[in-house]
Amino acid sequence: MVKFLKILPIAIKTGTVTIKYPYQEPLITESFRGAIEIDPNKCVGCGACTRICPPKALTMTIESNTIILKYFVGRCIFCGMCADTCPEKAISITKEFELATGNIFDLYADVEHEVKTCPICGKTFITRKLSDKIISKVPDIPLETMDLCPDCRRKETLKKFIGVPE
Amino acid sequence: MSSAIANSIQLLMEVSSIISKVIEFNEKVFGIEQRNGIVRIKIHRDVLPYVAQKLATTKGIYMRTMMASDERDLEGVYRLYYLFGIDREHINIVLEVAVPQEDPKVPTIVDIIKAADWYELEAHDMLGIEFIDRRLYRLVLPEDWPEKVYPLRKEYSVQDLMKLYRPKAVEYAKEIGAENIVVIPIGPYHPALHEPEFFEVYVSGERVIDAKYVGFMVHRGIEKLGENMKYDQVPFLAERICGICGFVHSTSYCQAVESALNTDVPERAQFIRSIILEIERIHSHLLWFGVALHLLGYDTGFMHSWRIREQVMVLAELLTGSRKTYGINVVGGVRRDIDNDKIRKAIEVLKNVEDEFKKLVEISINIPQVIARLKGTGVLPLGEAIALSLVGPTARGSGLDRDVRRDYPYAAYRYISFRVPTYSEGDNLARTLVRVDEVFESINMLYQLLDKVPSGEIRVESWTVEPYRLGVGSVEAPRGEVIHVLLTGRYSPYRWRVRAPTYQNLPAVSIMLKGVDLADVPLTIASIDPCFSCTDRAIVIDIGRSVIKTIPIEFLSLKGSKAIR
Amino acid sequence: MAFIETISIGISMLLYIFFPPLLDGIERKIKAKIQTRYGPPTVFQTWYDIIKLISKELKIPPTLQYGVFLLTLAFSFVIVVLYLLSYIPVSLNIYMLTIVIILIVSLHSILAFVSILSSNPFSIIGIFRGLTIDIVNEMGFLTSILVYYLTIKTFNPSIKSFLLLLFSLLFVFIVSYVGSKRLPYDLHEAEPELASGSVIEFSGPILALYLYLHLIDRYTMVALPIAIGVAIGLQLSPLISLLLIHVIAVVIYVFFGVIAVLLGRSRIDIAVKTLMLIYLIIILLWIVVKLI
Ligand code: SF4
Ligand code: SF4
Repeated sequence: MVKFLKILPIAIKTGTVTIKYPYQEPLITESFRGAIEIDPNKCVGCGACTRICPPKALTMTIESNTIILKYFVGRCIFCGMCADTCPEKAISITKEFELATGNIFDLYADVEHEVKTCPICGKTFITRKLSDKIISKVPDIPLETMDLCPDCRRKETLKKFIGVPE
Repeated sequence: MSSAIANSIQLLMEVSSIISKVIEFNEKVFGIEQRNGIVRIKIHRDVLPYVAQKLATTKGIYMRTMMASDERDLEGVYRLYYLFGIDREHINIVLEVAVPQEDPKVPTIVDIIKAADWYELEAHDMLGIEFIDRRLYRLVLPEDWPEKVYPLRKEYSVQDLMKLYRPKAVEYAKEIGAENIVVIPIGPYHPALHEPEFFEVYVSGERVIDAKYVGFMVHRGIEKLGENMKYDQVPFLAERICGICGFVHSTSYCQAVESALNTDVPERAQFIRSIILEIERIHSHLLWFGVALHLLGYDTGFMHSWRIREQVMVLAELLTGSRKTYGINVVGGVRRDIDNDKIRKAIEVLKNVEDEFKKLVEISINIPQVIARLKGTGVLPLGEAIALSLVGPTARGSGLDRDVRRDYPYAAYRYISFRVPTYSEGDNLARTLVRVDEVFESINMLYQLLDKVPSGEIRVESWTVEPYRLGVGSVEAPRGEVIHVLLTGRYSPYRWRVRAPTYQNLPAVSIMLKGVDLADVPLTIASIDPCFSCTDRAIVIDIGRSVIKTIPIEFLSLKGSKAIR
Repeated sequence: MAFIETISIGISMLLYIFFPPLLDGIERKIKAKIQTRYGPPTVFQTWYDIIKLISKELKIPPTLQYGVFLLTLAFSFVIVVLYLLSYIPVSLNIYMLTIVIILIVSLHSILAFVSILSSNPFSIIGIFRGLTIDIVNEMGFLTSILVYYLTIKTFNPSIKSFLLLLFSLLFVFIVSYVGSKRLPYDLHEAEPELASGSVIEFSGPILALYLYLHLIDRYTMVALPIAIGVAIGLQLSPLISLLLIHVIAVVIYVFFGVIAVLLGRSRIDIAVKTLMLIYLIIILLWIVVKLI
């Protein structure tokens, strides 16, 4: 009959559970995944993260002679797949989640990379850092063709083996 | 126990008798294949109603889902996969019907299996398949969608479709020169409402005579999107199908891929999946319980229910890194491990939740208004539940004992023991009690799971794709069975079919609503726990005057004075 | 009229005018505590709300033009009721009581009438539910005050008398609780998911006025029986009895506030049945005790 009164002792025992956010710290556990942070020094611009990112929050664009790795936090779902994938461990997952802003440009973070231009055809194809990385990683790589884009490189290599066609 | 075995033997014999009956049409049956508990029967479209009839009359068989897929670039046909399940047997029966592209017509099976209604309409909308001898109308696509454009056909890419379709509101805005003005749709689909569903409720006085559901306002084309994503990206998309029970979708998807490719998922990953699934069920049921109390005006119970739920949310974040949309499922396992410290904390939290929830249930179920409005309202008879192939707590509240965790064991459910609560009354109270019992049962399961987690890897090293394999993954979501059917492609799923429990359960709402009081309509709609688990603003139609948007004032006042007399 | 009486009437009226929103603020705070929430920042929140609403632009919906006029009329009624209520401790007779009751009932009718003016189909559901409850309760109100007045007038320290007092007290306070449109009888605002009451038609100063009237009405419904009881039963000096009236009224008001948080919302058919039953039982009991 008077069971409904029993909520009173529970309420008294529990006290107030809501907090005066944002004046008090919000509860985040140690496992929380928030926005990501790209370390421009470590990133080589390989693009692996842009290929795995499910909502395409990370994109790569080529602008004249730079490759820009763009991170738009507005699309990010905080999954951390990019951090798992990055071969250089350039991406770290922060605990940042209070990202609301009045200015949409606050939601973008760019990493610019100098790009290599093929001396023969003038095409841009890879970041300088990535190329350097490959050179340092792969032993006895033919250095003389490293500056060329994949197409020209193939042609040049062919030329070397079968001679210049008349 | 022995009766159960006898039962299953009998069922198996029935299955084989069905198969043998199907074979009677020898030139109309093109083959039967059995693998991983999936019996695939390829039949000619002419014999579909006959075979469906045979299946429908077999005890315990229900329709789980139907996938229509465009396989013209493979074999020049569309193909329909009707998926049937048998209660307590781990068997899926798939009827595969090829539909030639030049003449895409199939006989309907709606009059045999009621649950097929929406599936057929959806296949018609999305792929342009004609079902003969039934009324076809648009279910999923909006009214102003261009004619003869079938989005799931392979010739349309997502970008094409986005260009093709502009909602009429935009055109209208251009006409009146108001491109830059924000259009706010006001009406039953108002953005401020909880969920874009729409019920037409026909009332006389305060009593509901009939109710119709109009839905699919936010069809997002997720299945189409999934066809363009890599295998490991799709779980994150799948998880966003539902805002409350997303993990069931990603698990279901991963299981579908794994079953198609015969991938062995490490046991530890299976356990972690089960643990997270049960945590999700607890939070979902606590949420629902709160919302139900809120709809009954008992806001204090709502607040306390959500206060208790909050601990579960924080626990989920501790284990996965996110409060919701946990994002830890990948094909072949999970991405985040748990350690002993986390297990200890989880048990602590669960003990507390169990304790507090027990007290809260006892108090709130006994509030006079709550019990008066739960008991005997929104009754759904068992017969209807069986006829509509209902799933989840909605079915179990009507005494239909159906639970995928037991009937099609997946993840780590085969390693633990648990009870499936059922109630036979079929009213709102029964559905509430099913969920309440399930919370305690889930906590009990979690104790076992957390205790038994085996050591080892949490995901397979690598896996390779074989194209055009069929996979089925089903999970018991808080709302009922979720089932994903998938045809593998080379880099992305070739066809991915999602069926959420609400899809199966919503047709039951009209039956429940008949005869309830208008005031109990929100609760009754909520009692199936529709996805997003909120109810909607309904429009009231006066039958007598057949005027829409008018409340029958005379009726209402009549009711008032009658009541006084 | 003696100086002290004038002063006490003045103070009492000020209290009647100032208390209701403040009490509502306290009630909201208590509600929040029981729901383990922080709640509004201060107990003056309802006052702030009203002041803020008044400062908003005035928008009169076309169907409500007369409604606004009626609301102002209701406001003058309220002032008169408050004056009479404050006058009760000074002197009380059956004629004055009749006037107070007539005024309160007509005040309720005006508020009900204003709500009927709404043309919104969603709000009409709630309005008619509210009216149904109101009709039942208004009858209860008339009977309960009469029964209560009779009981107090004929009170003598005997068991029978105490029983009568108990029943009649129960009666008036149940009526005033239901009249306050708290849970489980807040059917006026109906199911938020399905329909609303008349309040959704109001905005800005009109909403402020409506809310204020409603809050004052809640308080007077609690204070009226107490004032009658104190005035007739205790015969104290006006200043002391006025203080006593307010103290008891505040306690009971807060008690009502606690009750409302603990219950769910009734349904119109159940509500009407329960109320009729309760009122009938109490009246019968009262009559039975009176006769033996
Ligand atoms: S994967 Fe890592 S190194 Fe490659 S582009 Fe992304 S952040 Fe840079
Ligand atoms: S966290 Fe996920 S969504 Fe965000 S950038 Fe990385 S991969 Fe993309």
